[in-house]
Amino acid sequence: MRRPGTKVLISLGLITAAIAILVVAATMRQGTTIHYYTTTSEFLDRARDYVNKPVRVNGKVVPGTLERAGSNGSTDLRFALGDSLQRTLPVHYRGNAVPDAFREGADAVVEGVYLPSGVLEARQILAKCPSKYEAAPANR
Amino acid sequence: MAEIGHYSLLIAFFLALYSTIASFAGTRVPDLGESARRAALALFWLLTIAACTLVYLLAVRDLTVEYVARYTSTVLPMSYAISAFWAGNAGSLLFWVWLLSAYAALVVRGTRKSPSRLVIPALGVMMLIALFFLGLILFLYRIDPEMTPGMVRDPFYATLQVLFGSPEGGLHPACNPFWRLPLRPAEGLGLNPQLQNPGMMFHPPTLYLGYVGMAVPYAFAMAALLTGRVGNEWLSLTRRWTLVAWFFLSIGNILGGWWAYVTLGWGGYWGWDPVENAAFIPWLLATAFLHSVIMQEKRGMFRTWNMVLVLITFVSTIFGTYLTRSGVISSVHAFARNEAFNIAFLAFMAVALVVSFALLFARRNQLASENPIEAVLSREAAFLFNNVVLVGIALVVLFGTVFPAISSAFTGVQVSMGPAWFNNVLWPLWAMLLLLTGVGPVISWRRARRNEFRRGFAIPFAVGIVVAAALVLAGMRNGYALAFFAICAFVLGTIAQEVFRMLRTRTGTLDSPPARKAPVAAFTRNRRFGSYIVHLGVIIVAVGVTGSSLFERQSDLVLRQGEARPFEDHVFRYTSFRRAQEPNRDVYAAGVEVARAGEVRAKVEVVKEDYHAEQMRWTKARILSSVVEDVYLTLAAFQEDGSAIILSVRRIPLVVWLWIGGAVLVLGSLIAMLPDTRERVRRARPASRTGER
Amino acid sequence: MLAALVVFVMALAVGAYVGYPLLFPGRNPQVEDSERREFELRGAQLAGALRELETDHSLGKVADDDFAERHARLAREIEFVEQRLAGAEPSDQTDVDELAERLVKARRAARKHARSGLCPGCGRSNPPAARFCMNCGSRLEEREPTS
Repeated sequence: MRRPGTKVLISLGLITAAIAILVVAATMRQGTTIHYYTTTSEFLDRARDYVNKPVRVNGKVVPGTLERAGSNGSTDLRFALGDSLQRTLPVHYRGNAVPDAFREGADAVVEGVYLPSGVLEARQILAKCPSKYEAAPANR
Repeated sequence: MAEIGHYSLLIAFFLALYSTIASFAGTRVPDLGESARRAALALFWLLTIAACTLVYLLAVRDLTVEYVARYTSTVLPMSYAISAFWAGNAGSLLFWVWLLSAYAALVVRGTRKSPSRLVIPALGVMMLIALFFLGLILFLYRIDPEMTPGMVRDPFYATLQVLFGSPEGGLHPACNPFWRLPLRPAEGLGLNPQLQNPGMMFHPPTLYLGYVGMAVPYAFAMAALLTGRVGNEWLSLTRRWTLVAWFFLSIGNILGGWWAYVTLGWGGYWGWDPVENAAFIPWLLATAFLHSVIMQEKRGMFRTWNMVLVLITFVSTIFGTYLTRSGVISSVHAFARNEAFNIAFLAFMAVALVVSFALLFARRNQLASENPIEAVLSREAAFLFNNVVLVGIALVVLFGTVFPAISSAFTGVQVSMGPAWFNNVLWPLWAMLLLLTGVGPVISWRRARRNEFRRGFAIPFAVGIVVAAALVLAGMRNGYALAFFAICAFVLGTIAQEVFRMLRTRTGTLDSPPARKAPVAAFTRNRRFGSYIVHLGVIIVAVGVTGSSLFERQSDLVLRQGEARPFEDHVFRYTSFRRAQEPNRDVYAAGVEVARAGEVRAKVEVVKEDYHAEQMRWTKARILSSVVEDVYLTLAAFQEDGSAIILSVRRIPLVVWLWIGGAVLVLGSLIAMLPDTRERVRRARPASRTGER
Repeated sequence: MLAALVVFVMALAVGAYVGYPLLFPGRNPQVEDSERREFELRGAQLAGALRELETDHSLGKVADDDFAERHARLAREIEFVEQRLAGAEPSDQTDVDELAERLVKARRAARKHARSGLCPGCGRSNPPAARFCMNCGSRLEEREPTS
């Protein structure tokens, strides 16, 4: 019985290598594809590391901080993101309409770039999506 | 009532235990084997009783039952109350094991007259899996500080409490759907409104039917390894089961996409959400398995590989169940909160992997391939590449799904992998896979000679080039789109050519003189014909995905009442505003008139709803579909008095073809499942050929 | 109390149903003539495989020499199964895997002195098991009893 042809092995190797390269390349291209994902307090703990980096921050919209401006199709929002700790992160957002669940006191995920000025310039605001199946983890 | 459900589960657990032992012991003892078969049937009936009990409890909204109180409310419509069966952990585990017992019962019924010695041990493997799930439902507890001993009078529970209770609190079942609350709550928590959609009623059951269906081929594979009968027997016994599982997995994935598209309101159907990925990975692996099986049947190749594939497909279905149930991906913190559940599942997967691979290793000598792959340009190599790409895609998706969790566990920094990451990696792989969809069924076995190659591919290749050229002339400049449409045209060409040639070619069967030659009865070869239909469906889906993901346009229009604004060639006028109160929700509806070229195309209401019990607001999409593109409308925002709204308009080309292609694909797999007419004839008159002599 | 009763009855019923074959070993429906069914199924599979092969060949996806070889093998397997079904050999404990092994050996042996399959009418070479010429339809010479 002959061994599988070398050509077949080479082609297999090429396909595997191609997949590996695609994965590595996409993973390296942080910013467009991968975000650092943190809670607000984790973020503030090492805020300096994140300057000019794409981030995704999870927190509560601090009640009383939401200012709406803008008109004609674009939304212009300023608010502070925080979690249970008292430290908060100022956010500016300009763009399309925000999700329904976004309001003061609600959980939100903000995706954007952390500017050196200390403001998170949001590119996208996501409502904290309830998992599709499990309504809420059992925490009692 | 809940007690009946609970105790039938308890009886079922011991029955499954007995059946497992009897099956493995009864392989050589016919009476014990018969008893094991009966136990499998009885298990099905017991679990059916349990399932019916839960359905009844949900239907009457017995809020003293914790599960009912957590996932329904008295105002929830009946159909959604019943679909809450699979909305939570406990119910869906019961559903899972009930389906498994149903599959096992069908295997028992279907093999009543089969002499195969694989059936009983395969039954044992299925019972072992059932045992795990039943154990999870019945015996998995967490310490609940609010529970005090004596709160529950049940003797069985009291015993457990004495044995395993802790000073910190009482035992609380982690996922038992029949657990009663000490006090009846005034109202249930209700079902997440996004799950209140017909698609969601059918999506989880079909997905689970697919997940659980893969347990059958896995069980037979393990039985083959256990008994050493590792020939093609297990493949021919399970081919149809694999197709059934694949059929349901396909429907499940398509329904999931459709559900996301019509209900989530962001105009997409696939977000590479872990839950979606969990359903997609088993589909990819099962697809690979369906293809590699052909190699073993026809050429005696890929024999070890088939075992590996069925094994990892099965484990991926368990992993998928685990991902959707544990919530561990959406937050790592969920892991600690439900630690026993997580550990149990991970341990089950690990044990299944280790034991199966050990068995495989023990039988490796019997699994040698009968033939080598001889050339790169051959059917065998094409199938090998197809498998490598499919498994590669599955691994990529798996990596993208679990990497965030792993990375956060090790570095403390959580990263997230968005759709962009998946798309960047997968577009080229999809292209390769699509290309192979065209090449695989046409290319010659063993070695494609030059003239055979030309005969097979000249016309389809030309079709692909012509389509690409036409699109370039029509102004399309997107490289991915051009490549995909060209490849789709190429594959369509190969399918059309194959069907045409099959209808035209005549073959004589060996025993009939050519005078009775008929055109190849392609349509009686269900398996072959079905595969062409499935491939056709895949191509249509690919066209839909390419069009909708590369050419979507979106705009938010601010409209005062009575005002109209254009978006491309459509004009949208905001005409009316309406508020309404439903029993479980407030409805805000804005009437919008959609016009094109001065002509009113449709009048629709875009709606936002506030759900009371669930405290959720939900935007419902309105979709104007056509074969060219969907106009996807949502009410992004509104003034309380209705004086102005923001209307979000998306134009998504070709997305309808996704659903059409999905339907074609499902239909094709149904055709492939049908028994061949000739096979039926032979079964009806098994001795006829002998009689001719 | 009612629940307890229902549960008890359920357990009893299940126990009786499952225990029956063990309590009354003689009364189990024995699978009739299981070996025969095994061969019937095998025969159906082989016939399907044969037709698939013929289709592939007529679509030009299997080279002629390859076709002849695989066709011969399948035809011999079918013949073997049919002989067994016709009761040509006493039924011993042969199972399908063993059968496959024997078939492979038989095939190797048979290939050495396979019939030519040449058609007396037109001269075209036919698969060894063919009874009629694939080209002109003349009856091929009567085969000799195998093995």
